[in-house]
Amino acid sequence: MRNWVLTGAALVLLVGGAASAQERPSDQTLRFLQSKVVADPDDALAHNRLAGAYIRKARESGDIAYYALAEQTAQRSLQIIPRGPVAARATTMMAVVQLARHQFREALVSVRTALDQDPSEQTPQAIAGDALIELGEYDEAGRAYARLAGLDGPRRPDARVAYLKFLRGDTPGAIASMREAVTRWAAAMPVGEPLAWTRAQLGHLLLGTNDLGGAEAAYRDALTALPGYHPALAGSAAVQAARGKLPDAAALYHKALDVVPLPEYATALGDVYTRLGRTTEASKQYALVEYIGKLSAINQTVYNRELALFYADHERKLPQVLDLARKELEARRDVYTYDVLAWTLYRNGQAREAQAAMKEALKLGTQDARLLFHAGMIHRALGEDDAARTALARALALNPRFHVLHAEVAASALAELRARR
Amino acid sequence: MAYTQRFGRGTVMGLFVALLAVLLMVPVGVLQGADHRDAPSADEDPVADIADVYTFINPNDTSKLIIAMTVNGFAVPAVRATYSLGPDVLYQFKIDNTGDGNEELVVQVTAEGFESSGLRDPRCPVNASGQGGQFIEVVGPAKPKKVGNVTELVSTKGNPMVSGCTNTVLSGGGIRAWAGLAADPFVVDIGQFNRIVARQQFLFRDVPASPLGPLPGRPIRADGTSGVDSFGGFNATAIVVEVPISMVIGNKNRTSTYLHNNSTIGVWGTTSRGRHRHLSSHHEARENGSFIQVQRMGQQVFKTVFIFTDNAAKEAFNRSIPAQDHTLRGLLPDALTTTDTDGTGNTTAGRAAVLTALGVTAPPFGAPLLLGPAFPNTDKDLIRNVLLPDVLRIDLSLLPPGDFAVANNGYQNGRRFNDDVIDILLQLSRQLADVKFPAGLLGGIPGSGPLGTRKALNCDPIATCDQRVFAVLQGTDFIKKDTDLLILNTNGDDSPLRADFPYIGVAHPLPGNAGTVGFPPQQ
Repeated sequence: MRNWVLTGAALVLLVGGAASAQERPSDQTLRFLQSKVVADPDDALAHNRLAGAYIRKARESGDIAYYALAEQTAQRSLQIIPRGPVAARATTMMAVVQLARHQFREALVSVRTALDQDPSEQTPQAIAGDALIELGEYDEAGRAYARLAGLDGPRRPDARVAYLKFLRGDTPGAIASMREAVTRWAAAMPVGEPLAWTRAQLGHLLLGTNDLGGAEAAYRDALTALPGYHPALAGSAAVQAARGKLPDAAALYHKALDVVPLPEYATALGDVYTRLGRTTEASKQYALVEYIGKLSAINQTVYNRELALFYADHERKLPQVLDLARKELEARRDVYTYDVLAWTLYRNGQAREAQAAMKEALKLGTQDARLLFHAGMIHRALGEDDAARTALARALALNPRFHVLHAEVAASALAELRARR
Repeated sequence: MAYTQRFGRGTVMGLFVALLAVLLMVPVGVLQGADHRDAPSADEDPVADIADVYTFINPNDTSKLIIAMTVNGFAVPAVRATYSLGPDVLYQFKIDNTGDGNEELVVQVTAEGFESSGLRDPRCPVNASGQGGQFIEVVGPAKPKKVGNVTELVSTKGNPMVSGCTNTVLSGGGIRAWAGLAADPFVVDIGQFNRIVARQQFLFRDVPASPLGPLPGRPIRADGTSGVDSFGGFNATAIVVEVPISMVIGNKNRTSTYLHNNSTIGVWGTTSRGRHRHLSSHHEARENGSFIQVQRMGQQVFKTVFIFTDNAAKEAFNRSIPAQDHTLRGLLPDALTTTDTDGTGNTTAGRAAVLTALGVTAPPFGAPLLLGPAFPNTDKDLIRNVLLPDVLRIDLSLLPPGDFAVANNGYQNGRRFNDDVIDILLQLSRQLADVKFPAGLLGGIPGSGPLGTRKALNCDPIATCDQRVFAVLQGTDFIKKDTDLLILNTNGDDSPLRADFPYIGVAHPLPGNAGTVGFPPQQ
């Protein structure tokens, strides 16, 4: 398992050694930047560049161990130069690491520190917006992004604005903004993780609207920008699952898991196996999800919500999952965290409490079939048939194949509700 | 010294000084390079971020002028194919040959495709060295359709034009062009500079004892150097164009302008993006219609030291034009003259005496004085006049090998790839920028009198002295050997230049691989 401790690759990079023919360009980049730090251990900017490369590597590989290396390197930079613009860059790196670890409030503190050190820094504004979204402070997040709206080229925060639009229910606007982001990145840097990430995000948006062809193309383009990019592999798998090509979906999920064993990939693969009736293989994947959750404290922080959703979806450890969901709400208060809380309450037979949480989840009008499915099931449990029919119908209208297992549940529940009329 | 003689040719030595003064007086940002990645978040837009601009007369054909710019600064050799020119970016060299701060001529460069596998322009398959992929078109020198920060593509008809693939010398219409990844020729010890301005150190090289006490800096290594070239091993994407001097020299009398004589022109670089963009099926963002300026650059490190940390000012500068630079005069300090301005002997001679007393005018603790001990400047606006507008000035009558003249037209006459532009800046600044020292410092050194109406760098009290005063004190960042400190037409770069066009050095391979050139050279 590569993901949960310092990986073999990271360790090799730390101790140095000759470059191998099989070494990835990103690893060679790290080796080069490490050599610059070795050549001048007192160059804070060189440390900042290396920290940035570790962060890019973490994003590219999904290996969160690189965030620890980024943190150490940024801290060293701050030891060399604790104040001023160079320190602002290092502090910004710290904020990125904190964001990745879901330490959203800490990230906001770092952002403020960075801006105090160098008010001209703009990356902290973007990070602030990201953190504020996770904390449910959407208007404030919008203001943070607006401060970057005048930037040119790929610096413009189109992708971030796209997500905010999506959350607020403007899916067409979100797709348009994400396409703009793709265009800007493609023109500026046609290969690499930033473009791959942006294309994968576009794929996710299109998949959510059941535009399977568009999503598939976006994921394919993402893989062109960065071969083996795991979010694009998993997205491609979801497209195949939506098409009912479950063996193809399973193969793609396996590829994504080979890159990085994220719990959502294992969950999705397990669901595909369940749908195929291959219960033993499904159980293995579900066991993997639980194992990942137990592996380290940082995993329990970063993947808390995914684990809660997994347990709720599969009706496991239901009393404990409520604790998980409530704990997550302490860290972030966005609509998806409220959704997970609502779903876990529902699974625990607390439909009334679930409805209150679901109201928070839907307060922005987010057009997400999963949210609407959850809302419909909660209404149904409360005997609010009209509301349940409306929510489930909207979910299936948005995407009749939104989930390999739940889409069928939604359709069945809707049919039953309609039959009651 | 030849340099000293050349100083006398131009009054503009102060320009250098001015620049240095700027370095000292402005609440400067992080020095990341001549102008590398200067704008906030520019890390995310490297194709439009100008690292440096160069112009010089071709030493192998003195009838030709070379103009060049670099983008994609800090390019890592391991991922060479990820660095391309931006297909959505219009790269322009602008030439003022009337002295009004506006461009009378432009050379426009556009690119199609990318260097990366799968995205290469079909006309440009990869070559034997693994390079190639972009198709570039170079048009000009040509009269611009629009002057200023909004422009349009000039016609390919009736203007010099050449096109072809990157990493290839293209020739036609009287011009030559080359674009591709190259060893970044810029040299500076950024790491130590940043430690100095952050008050973690005082000087580039350690001075264990001085009248001010010990002044910590880097120790001297066994080879006699102490600096580190922070750009060592990094590449950048370069555009190099050669044009006949006859096409750009102009015929308008400009003796009363900032260009001072009729053989001098101003050169700067810009990047622009179009208002209308679409992405083709080949992932090429194509532009048409008007292009809006994203960034501009003339002299080395101008923005970095001059446009502060205020992002709005930086963005405004990037969108502005040289003709508007007179608005920046208030940001620059006075130049020292032969007249005492504060009753303490605050003159160029007085400053030279202070530097000598501190022991920083001879190796190993400093470079020899570039201007001599009594530089006869009489213009307190010298710095302002030589630095503004922010364009490279080149006197086309100074032919190689006699074309290198510090302060003749600004920092230096034109800018060659291997000019030691940082040491030039440091040397001129330390001798010319006015500084307000504390009263009674070292018995009342020049500059320690009343500030009055002087516009000086603030070093009063010494405990909160603007650290840039210390940064320039030694007149060098000690990248080169001490014996070479006054040889300012070499900068100690780790990569040799090509002997002929495009001159800029071959791109670095990954350290440790075959072809690595002395990386890292100083350790």
